[in-house]
Amino acid sequence: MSVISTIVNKCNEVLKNPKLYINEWKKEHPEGKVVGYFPTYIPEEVLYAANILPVGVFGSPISVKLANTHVQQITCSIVRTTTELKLSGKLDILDGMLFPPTCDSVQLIASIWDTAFKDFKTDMVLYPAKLSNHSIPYIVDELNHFITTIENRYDVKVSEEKLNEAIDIYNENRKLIKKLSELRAVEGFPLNWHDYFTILKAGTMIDKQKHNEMLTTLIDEIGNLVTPDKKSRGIKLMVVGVSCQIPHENVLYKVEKLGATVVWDDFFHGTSGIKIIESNSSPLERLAQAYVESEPMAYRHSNRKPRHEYLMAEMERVGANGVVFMIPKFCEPELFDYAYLKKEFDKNGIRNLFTDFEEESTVAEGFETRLQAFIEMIDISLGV
Amino acid sequence: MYFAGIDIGSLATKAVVIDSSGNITGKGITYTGASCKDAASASLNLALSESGINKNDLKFIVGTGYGRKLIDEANLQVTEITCHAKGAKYFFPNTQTILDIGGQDTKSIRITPNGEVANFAMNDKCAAGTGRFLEVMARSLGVDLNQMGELSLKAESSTTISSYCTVFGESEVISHVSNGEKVESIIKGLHESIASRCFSMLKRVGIEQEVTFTGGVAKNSGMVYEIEKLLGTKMNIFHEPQINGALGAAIIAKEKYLAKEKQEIS
Repeated sequence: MSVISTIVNKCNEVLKNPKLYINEWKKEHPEGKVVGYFPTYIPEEVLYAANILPVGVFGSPISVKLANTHVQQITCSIVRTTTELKLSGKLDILDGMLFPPTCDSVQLIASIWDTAFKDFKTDMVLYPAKLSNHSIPYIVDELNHFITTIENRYDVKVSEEKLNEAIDIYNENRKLIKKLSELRAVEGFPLNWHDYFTILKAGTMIDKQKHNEMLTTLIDEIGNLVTPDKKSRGIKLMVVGVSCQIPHENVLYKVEKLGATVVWDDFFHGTSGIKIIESNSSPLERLAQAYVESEPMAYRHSNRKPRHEYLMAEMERVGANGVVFMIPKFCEPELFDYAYLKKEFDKNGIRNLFTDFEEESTVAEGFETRLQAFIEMIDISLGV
Repeated sequence: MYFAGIDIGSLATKAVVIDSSGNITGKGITYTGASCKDAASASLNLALSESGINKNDLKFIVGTGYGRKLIDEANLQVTEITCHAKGAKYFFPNTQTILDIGGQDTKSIRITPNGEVANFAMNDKCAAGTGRFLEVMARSLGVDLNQMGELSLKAESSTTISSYCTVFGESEVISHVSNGEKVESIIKGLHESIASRCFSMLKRVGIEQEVTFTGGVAKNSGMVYEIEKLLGTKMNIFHEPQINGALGAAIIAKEKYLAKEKQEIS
């Protein structure tokens, strides 16, 4: 088995059986705690510095039965299926759960969990949605409050030294992911969309230092296979709108089976766009500045750059032929952004397609037809 | 040389055979039923028989429609979006916007002056605004599906149908019947409801003249009237609007075969 397949398989195993991985981690860290987090961004570095394993909890393709009594059916499926996981005992291995302020639904679910699961530690970390330099003191203050909460809740200590170490490890991870993602549009890139995504998603559970080792080996191996100065051939697509929830794995396979290559996506797990700040500032200032200077997403806008400019620059960089919006049903941040982004893409002659999905659904015929028609549309007009 | 297109829709399967000059030599329409493969073979046999040729005379076959992947005979499968664009352009060369209402989905397609698909929209899982919706409503009202258009045009007023959902729409229709509303008015209300949904879908892709209406529902004169009223213009309608997708598939079959032949020669 090749080195690449071994890494993909290892990541697949972690995703298929997270409990097994968490128990292994616990054996190596007898004093350690395990805390889940809901997408999109939480300052994982703080947890890591406190010997807590942050574990991304991103819903599941399961049918919702128990959660319907807690959460309305018009909320997105990631919120409903994650609540279903909690109610069916699948998250009992976690010591607690953290929620960011991604959208109204996520903030509401945090309150619902706090009320419904009294014995379970549920906390929120708050970030502003509109970012500027004025946000930095607010975020530093919020991070201080967050650290106190974590220390009290989990009986741990977050030292400045450990926090700086954690920031370095996480920054290294971001650099490696960026390097890997840049190879996607290069001829000879060996991973399909599903496998690429598997490696990134597993990184939301695997200890970051271990994940960095995996990524370093993987990038070295891929370096031997690609032709760096040649862009990949065929129809290249950019997928936008999946900043929080991800489509069913069959959807990931399907896109490329229809004859296109996904060369860029804005999955939270990959191109989350958090900036790497190399400075002598205090760790909390570095974390705050990194967030403020991050690339714009549906849930995070900045004064510096509108989202369409960021997406169009990435599109040009990777040489994509079209944009596919894959937006979770009922996802307000993405749906609000869609109207504005579509207008900008149309104005700039960028082909784009709207699709939506739910966690529980696999591949609907309508989805496949739309995607295939979009690929045919590009194929005919470009003669790719 | 002959070429064929087979379009497997949720209600009907259509096949069209064309010759090397692009003339339609035969067509076949059958109910899809439970087996897409059988329906494809049956419709193709009808089209072959009308053309007076055998299957061996066909150089290339393109399958389309929701059952396109199940057509054993097809050399290539292409979506109905691309095929409808080809078909509509064949019948009406100035077409720039297409509305297709099929059995289980509705599509709006905008094409460039040279026939390429520029944009499209289609309904998802819900049957609202499709041929199936009208079929269920006709059954609830106890009228023949083919008479819906005629009855609608006779209505002196229309009954507002607020629900797009087939299931809730049916309950709404039943309650109107029990309130003594005239069947003609209810049918007109149904057509208005679908027309407004189609109009929104057309606006999503941008309406450019000329507009061509395809799919089985284009045979319904009441439906045509309501959509044209919203558009403020007449639409192009071929006398057999159902075969548009299959015809487009046959044209693509011809183009693909000739392109392949040219490539082999050079």
